[in-house]
Amino acid sequence: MMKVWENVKYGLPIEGVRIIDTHGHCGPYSDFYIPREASHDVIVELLDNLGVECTFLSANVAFKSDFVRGNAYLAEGIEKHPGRIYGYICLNPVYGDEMIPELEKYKNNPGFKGIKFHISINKTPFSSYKYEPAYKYAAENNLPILHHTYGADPLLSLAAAAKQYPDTTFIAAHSEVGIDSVEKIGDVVNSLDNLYIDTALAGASEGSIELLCKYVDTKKILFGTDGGFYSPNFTLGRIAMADIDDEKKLDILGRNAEKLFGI
Amino acid sequence: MKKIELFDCEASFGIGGYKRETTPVTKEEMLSKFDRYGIDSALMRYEYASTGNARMGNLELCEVIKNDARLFPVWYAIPHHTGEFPAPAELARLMTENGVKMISLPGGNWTVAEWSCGELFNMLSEHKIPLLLPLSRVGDFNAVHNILKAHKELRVILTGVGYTVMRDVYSLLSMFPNLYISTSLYRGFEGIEDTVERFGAKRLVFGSGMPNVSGASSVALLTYARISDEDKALIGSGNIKRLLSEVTF
Repeated sequence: MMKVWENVKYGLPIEGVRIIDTHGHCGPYSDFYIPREASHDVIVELLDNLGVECTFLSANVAFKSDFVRGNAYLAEGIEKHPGRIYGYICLNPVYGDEMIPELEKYKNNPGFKGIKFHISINKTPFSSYKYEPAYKYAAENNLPILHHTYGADPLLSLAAAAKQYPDTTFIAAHSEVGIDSVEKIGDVVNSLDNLYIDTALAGASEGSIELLCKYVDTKKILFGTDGGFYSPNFTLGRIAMADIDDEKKLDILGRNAEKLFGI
Repeated sequence: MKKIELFDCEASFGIGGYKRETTPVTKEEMLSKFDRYGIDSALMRYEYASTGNARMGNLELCEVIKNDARLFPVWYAIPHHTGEFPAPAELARLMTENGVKMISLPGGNWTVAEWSCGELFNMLSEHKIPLLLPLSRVGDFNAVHNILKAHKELRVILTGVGYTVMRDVYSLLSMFPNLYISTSLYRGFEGIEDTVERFGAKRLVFGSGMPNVSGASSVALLTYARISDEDKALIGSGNIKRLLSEVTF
């Protein structure tokens, strides 16, 4: 076991390991208090604190309220912290006509690396025709799509969309919510080249990541913390100290994202 | 850099009705996890006392952990009116006899309220015994408020407090100096830092929440918190040690 994982016990940054957080948040959120509104500067401070190289964010306002306003806010962070902050262009299929113009707006911004949808806000099923323009755009422009899934059933529903759109890459967020159906999740994620999952979960139980790694190809698991919504510390801690071999940790923490996003 | 001492206020073990393949169940499995994550000692609840029989399970817990210097018992209490469980005065006597200094409340078909638990809360207050209170058990912060308002001397360590509820938590922390928060799920973005800044480090108590919560997560939440080493030490072990030392029988 690499000694560097012990750094967690001392609160020291994880050094010598490329860590890419593929699921973070920034900015204020109306539903609950976030100290200092998870500003871009604070987010980068916390990355340094942990030894995380960079994070992929969506603006909280973008999926909860106004995606145009939110994406613009995130663009400021990308500009201010190049190489530390990357972004998902947040879209909302209920404003279908605005999706492509919004994507085109950021087409030449190398800091935007993917697309984000939040089904619990937009209430549009994953396979809805309303997503199609974005799914096709994503395939043509090599933009993975991060979908909020919360539980095994939503993840399996997203898998159906992934089958329907094989040229589009999908990332199912919060995969461990469905940990009691991990065998089903493993079957479906392992069978689809274009479906990944992430580790962002506030209440993951003891042994959850080990169980996930037993059934899911760890090349399909992306490190994600929801940092900015809540603390990124604990997800890093549980992956770093997980009882899985070092190669799997390195894959999850950074190598998979490196390949997927080409950074 | 020195490792902070971690005294876990919120862990449990034992066979229950459900577990996953990788869930630690036995005392030995939990101790192995504590070693892996750098948790030095722990207050332990016992699954059988929660989901089997509180009276018998509590006594069994003390027997099971008696030779482990790192482990300390937390008993579950249920209302005494049916005769299934000792009345508060008798409970206090049993706790003294068995070296138990903390009480928690299990699930079940009964209401946590003044009319069912008032006598118990009076006894806990009198002896300064901390109550490890799961937020999910009381349902909402109104219930927490009612308990704290009725029992101003009751020391409550609230568990299962997540990251979305800080508006309520801060109101209660400002009103009730005897309210403490277990850190196990207290995962707000800079949540620990902000809470320490506003209320001081004495109001937070390190809890792992294991096995329902990832122990490594809970450790990292505190070790990476951008607060002073002194504050980390208080949260990590100092606060819970003080609370336990003030128990009077």
